Formats: sequence, C-alpha cells, structure tokens
Amino acid sequence: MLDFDEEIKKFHPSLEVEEAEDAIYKYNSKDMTEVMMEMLEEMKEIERQ
Amino acid sequence: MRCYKCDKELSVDDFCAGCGADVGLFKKIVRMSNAYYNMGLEKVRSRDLSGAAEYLHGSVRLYKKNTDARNLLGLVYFEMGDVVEALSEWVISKNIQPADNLADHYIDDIQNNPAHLEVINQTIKKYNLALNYAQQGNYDLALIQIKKVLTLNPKMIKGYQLLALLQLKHNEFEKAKKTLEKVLKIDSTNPVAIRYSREADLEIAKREERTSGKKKHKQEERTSLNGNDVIIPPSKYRDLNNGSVTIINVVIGILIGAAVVFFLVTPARTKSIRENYNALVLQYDQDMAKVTAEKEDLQKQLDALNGQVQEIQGQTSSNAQMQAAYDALLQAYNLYKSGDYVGGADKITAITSTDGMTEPFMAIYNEIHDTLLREAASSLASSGTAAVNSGDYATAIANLSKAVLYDATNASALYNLSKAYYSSGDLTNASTTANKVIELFPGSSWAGYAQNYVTK
Repeated sequence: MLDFDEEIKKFHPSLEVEEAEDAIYKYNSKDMTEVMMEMLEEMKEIERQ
Repeated sequence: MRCYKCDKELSVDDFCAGCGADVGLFKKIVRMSNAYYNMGLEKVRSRDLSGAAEYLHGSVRLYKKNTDARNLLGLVYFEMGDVVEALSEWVISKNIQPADNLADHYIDDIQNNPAHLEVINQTIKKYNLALNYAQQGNYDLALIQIKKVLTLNPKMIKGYQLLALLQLKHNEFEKAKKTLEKVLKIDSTNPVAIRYSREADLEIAKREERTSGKKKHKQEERTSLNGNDVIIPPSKYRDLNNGSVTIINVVIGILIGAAVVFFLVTPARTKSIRENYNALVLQYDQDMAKVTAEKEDLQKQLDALNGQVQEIQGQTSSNAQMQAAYDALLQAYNLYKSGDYVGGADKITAITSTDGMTEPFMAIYNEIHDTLLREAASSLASSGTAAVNSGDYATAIANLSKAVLYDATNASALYNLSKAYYSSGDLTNASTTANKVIELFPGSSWAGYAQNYVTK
C-alpha cells in the first residue's frame, strides 16, 4: 500500500505565470560544454605554471 | 556548429580557424547533445513524454544552445499541462537564438490569447490550493479543487496524479484506475501513474480475494461441539433450495410470463393490428369510392359520346336515305314517263320516308305516286288473274299480292289472290285472304264468292 504522506511530499507547487520571469532569470546558464571548457582552460593554466 | 569562444563557424578540424581554440571535446559534447535530442524526439513520437523530457533535459544540460531540444522540451511540458515551464524553455530558447526560432511561434500563440493565459494561471493557482489542502489533510476540499482544475486543464498530468492519490487514499480504487488511465493516454510511460495503477490493481485484487474468501469461509466453516454447547433442534422450516424446486419455479415463471403476454401484450397487439386493418379497409373503401365515381363519370362521358356517335351515324344514315330516296324518285319518274308503271311503283314504294325532303322532291313524288300505284295495281291484277286462270298460281300469287299492296281497294285482285292460294293448296292464306275480302267488301259479289275459300 502506498504511503500517502510520503507520496504527497513528492508533489510540488506549480510555477505561476508571475513566477516565470524569476525562474528564467535564475536559470543556470552553464552547460556541460562550458564546464568542460572551463576545466580544460584550468588544466592548461596549471600546465603553463 | 559554432566556436564556443569566438562564435565562428567551425570546420571539420578539431580547432577553430578563427581563434585557434581546441574544439575537439566541444564537438563531441555537442554531438552527444544532439544524440540525446534524437532519442528524446523518438520518445515523443511514441507518446512517452516522461522519457522524452529526461532525454531532452539531458540534451540541453550538455549543450544549452541546442534550441531544437529546448523547443521540443517546451512542447513536452506544454502537453503535460506545465504551461509555465514550457513558456520558460521557449523564452530561454529565444534568448539564445533570437532569429529564425520556432519558439517565437509558440510564445506568440500563448501570449496572443490573454484569456487563455488567465485560465492557465487560474488552474495553476487552484492546483496549488488543492495540493495545499491535501498536505493539510483536508482531503475532501482537495478533491473538489483538483476536479475543478482538471475541468479547466484536462491535460494536467500532475493534477491527475494528485487526484488518483486522493482516490487511493479514499479506497476508491476503480476511480483511481480510470484517472490514471487518462494520464497514460497523455504520457504512456508516466512512472507515477504506472506505480499508482499497480497499487490500485493490487488493492482491487485483494478486495476481490477477501470477498470470495468470505463466501468460501462461510460454506466451509464447521465448529466442533463441546460439552457446553446447547443443541438447538432444527426448525421445521425447510429450505426449498434444490434443483426440482428451481425447475418448478422456472416453469411457474414461464407460465406467468405467458399469461402476461396473453392478457396484456397480445390484446394490445391485436388492437394495434385491428386498427391498422380498419385503417386499411377505410382507405380501400375510399379508394374504391373514388374509382367508382370515376367509373361513373367515364361511363357518362362514354354514353354522351355514344349519343353523339349515334347522332352522327343517324345523320349519316339519314343523308344516305335521302340520297337513296332521290335516286328512287328519279328512277320512278323515268319509269313513269316510259309507261312502266309496275317498275315505277316498285321504285317509288322503295322510298320509305319523305321526312326532310325538299319541296321539289315532294312535288314530283306526289304527282306520280298515286298514279304509279294505281296503274301498277291494275296491271298486276290483270296479269295475276290471267295467271290464276292459266294455272300459274305462283305468278298469280306474286302479282296479285303486289296488286293488293299497291291498291287495297281492288276487290277483284284480293279475291283472285285468295283463289290462287286456294288453288295452290295454301288453304290458310286462302282463308285469311277470303276473310279480308268479306271484311273489306261486305255485301259485294266478291264477298259472296270469297265465302268458298273460307276454311271453317
């Protein structure tokens, strides 16, 4: 049998239209390519040093 | 594909021709992002929206500028009822790629319908309220709210999920199943819906087992007696639940059914049939009356036409008769002039009617008629008498018959005619003719002579 209380915790409120703007602004714009490139740059920096 | 540093179009080499940056790894990541996008697209096509969302999310996490993946992700969110999440993805996509982007079209579609946007906002607010009620334990209020939400937004998957959960909480397992089926129609592999559906199936199976188990248990239960048990003698009431009684009950049921049909259904049906029949008969009578009237009318017309035909025929006949009369008169006149009075009398006596004749006709007719007849009668009487005397009775009868026809006052001719009949052996005609002589010329010598030929 499902545990109702545990299940209900998994539900989160939906974003309202007014909240969409904030969500967009808070969007983490870094993706994997950027992370990888940053890592490569750091590695190259370390090698130079 | 463009360089992540200088945004120049990349070639097949692993370095950028513009800034010289090492783009080998970058290209691999972008290709992986595209692969995830393709997999996501396949999932969308088979209606596995949850699976598609995972892959597409992975695609944009690898390479955020994959606007195709982002736009598709927005569509998936929109289809699942998460409109704000969808709008967010499209806005981000538009920021990354302002020109030539499908996201423009999607955003315009929503923004150009402010009423619809307001409805979407209201459904989100109501959903959040329903969730709040559920988390606080106000399950009935939560149910009411969530049902309203789903009426406004029938594609809100999380709304259905919450409703199903509340129904499971209320042990309404069949209803929960139906709710979850709606989710699976939108998102065929929605993991929450599948899990809840399995739970509902389990609970339904358990309940059925309990129900059938109770029945078996009742049938099989036997308690053993001990010394403290009180034995109650069975009542004289007998449970008539056996096969023969069932058959009897069935037979009685059939008989009752037959009686119902006979007394209720059949009369109504008979009445209906009778009414139909009466209506048909009435229609037939009306049709027949109409036909009869038409027939009578036609008969009248026919009679009138026949009358006209007869009139025309009469006129035609009359015209022919007139023509014949004219011819006969002309011939009679010619014979009269030539002295053939007998021939002339034959012709003129052929004219049976002088009605409608002209004055000139009548003048000639009247002039020659009496003369012709008188002279013809005289001539015929002479020749007839001579024939009697010579023993030629046939000629005598022919001539004398004509003579008396033309001149009924010729007693001699009539007497000689009776004599000719008598002499020829025709006693009957002789007697009749002799009586005529006696009748027409009483007291005359001819009457005396005629007495000899009267047969008594």
